[in-house]
Amino acid sequence: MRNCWNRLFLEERPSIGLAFFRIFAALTVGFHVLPLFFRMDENYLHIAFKTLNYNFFTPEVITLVQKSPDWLAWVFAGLFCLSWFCFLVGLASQLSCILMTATCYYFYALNSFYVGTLSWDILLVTLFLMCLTPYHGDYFSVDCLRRGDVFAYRRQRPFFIQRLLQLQIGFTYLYTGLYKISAEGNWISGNPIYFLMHYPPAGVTKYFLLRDFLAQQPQLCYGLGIGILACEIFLVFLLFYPPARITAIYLGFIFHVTLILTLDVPAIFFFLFPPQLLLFIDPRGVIAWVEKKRVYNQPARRSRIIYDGNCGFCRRSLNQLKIMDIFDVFTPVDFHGLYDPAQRHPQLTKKAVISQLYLIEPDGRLYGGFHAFRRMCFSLPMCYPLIPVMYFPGMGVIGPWAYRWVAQNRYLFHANTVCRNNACFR
Amino acid sequence: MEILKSRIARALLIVAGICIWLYWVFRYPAASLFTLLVPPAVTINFSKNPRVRNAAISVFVVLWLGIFHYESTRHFYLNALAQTDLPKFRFLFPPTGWIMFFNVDETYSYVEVYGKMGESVHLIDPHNIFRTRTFGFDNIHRNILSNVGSGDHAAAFCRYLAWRLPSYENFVVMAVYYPSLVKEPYRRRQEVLYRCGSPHKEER
Repeated sequence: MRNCWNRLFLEERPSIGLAFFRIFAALTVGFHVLPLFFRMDENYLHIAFKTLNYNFFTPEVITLVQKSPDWLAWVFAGLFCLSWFCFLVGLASQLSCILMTATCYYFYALNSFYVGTLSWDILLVTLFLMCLTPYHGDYFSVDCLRRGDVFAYRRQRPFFIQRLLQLQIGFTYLYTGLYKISAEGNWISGNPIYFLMHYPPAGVTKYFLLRDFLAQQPQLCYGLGIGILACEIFLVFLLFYPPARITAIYLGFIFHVTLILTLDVPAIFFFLFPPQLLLFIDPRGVIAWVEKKRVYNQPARRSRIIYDGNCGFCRRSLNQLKIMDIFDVFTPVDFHGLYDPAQRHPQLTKKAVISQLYLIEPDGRLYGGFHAFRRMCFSLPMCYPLIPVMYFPGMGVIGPWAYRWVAQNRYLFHANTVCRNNACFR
Repeated sequence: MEILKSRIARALLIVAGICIWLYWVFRYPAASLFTLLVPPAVTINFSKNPRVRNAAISVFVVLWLGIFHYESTRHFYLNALAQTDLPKFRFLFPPTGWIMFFNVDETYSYVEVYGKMGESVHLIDPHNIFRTRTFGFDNIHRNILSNVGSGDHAAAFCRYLAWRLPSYENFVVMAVYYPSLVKEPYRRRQEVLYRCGSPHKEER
């Protein structure tokens, strides 16, 4: 019994899955809340049409929040944006998660008209669990870069948060299915899918390819309804049964894609649930796969980064790059340790390597400065979000200019006493 | 600190701590979600001793699972079992459990808003009333306007309409009801819910 409990909740496993999930949780909150701030007057200021959720909050809290002046709503909007961004990039991730959740509560108490949905309640349950520990900031985060641990990706943490998130989504499916066949649910006695196909244009059903066909097929609709019911009820068992897990995850993905394509339901279901299903993948398996990739990338297969080892700013940046380099594809080479840089690549000269950073790929291709950095983004999963920025129109001009400025002033960014005495070549 | 070296004293301190904790839980039931879960959560975060941390994790997990399943089943199952309205944990969880699309029948209703401008009456596009656009779905199609149909919201909605669409003199809020979408898809009943005059002069 004790062993089983330990294995389920207390055992330490890598937290990389939770860190990955943090990004999607943040995006889901952002997609749901940020659009509301574009119409602050209609949603949260004194003139807004408001509904208050007395079931969720106590009357005292509602009364207190309703007294808040318009400027306070703006302050909370700013606080939300700040904490949301910090949570997204993983800067002080636990604190930012708590702050973001608190601001979500404030806006929910101020006006539940737009956000007061079942999916929002599910999201709050998820956020509540995410607030509990800082484990989600262990990787894919600014926090891990600040800590400087090169092996942050395999940091071990108690598994209970990930397990509770697994149980949350599994049982949410189960209860959703159960309510459809018991309580006041009518999925056995009625034909809900068939009725949904007949909803008027103003209704919740979107116009999708097979809608008119399904509207003529009551038997097929009933069968689909039973199929959905079976999926919802059995999904939790399939998810916790290892041989059926991957199938269950695919099934969940298909379910949510179908949901967003056919019904006007909050996109939380689409943005939060599929990543939450990925939490069922054992992080030890993920780390084993990563380690295999690292072994595969033997020194001969790695790209070389030629950098200035006398520059503290460059060394710190290289250390951060090693943290981001989860697949171990780069080998930093200090050009001060090279007798002749041309040994590494015929186009390299002493003057060239002093002026900027170079990337030599295994096939001999050479990239310098901004272009090297841009190229590196493709090999660093944490830098993937930067790729669209790096290739944004105009970056071909601004990027090299900005890089040159940083490269020329790199000794000003660190406190190397040797270089302060002008001993470093600039 | 000498007292902490005695096992009996430590056990008594733990029991006293738990008693104080439970006192606070029952003293403020509205905030019981936080008074129950925050102490183990704080211990998980700040304890350096793995045994204490694991104990705190176990307490948190047991409490959390209990609360989660209680709230998931309270409204439709446990209330019926206990034949009374059991208390709800405030500040988390929906009021009636996870009931997404649990009952969809062949009737349908929604709310329409008409505006009067001079002698002409216009059906107002709900997207012009509530202009907030959401990401990936349409809140208006989710029937968000049905919330304004309640008489409790009449005054607030009329005030909002007068501010939002000042070019209209009067508004009529109507309910549209389809008795059977399958058998009679084109039969719809309309009923005036309330009228809005000049600001603050709405009538039932």
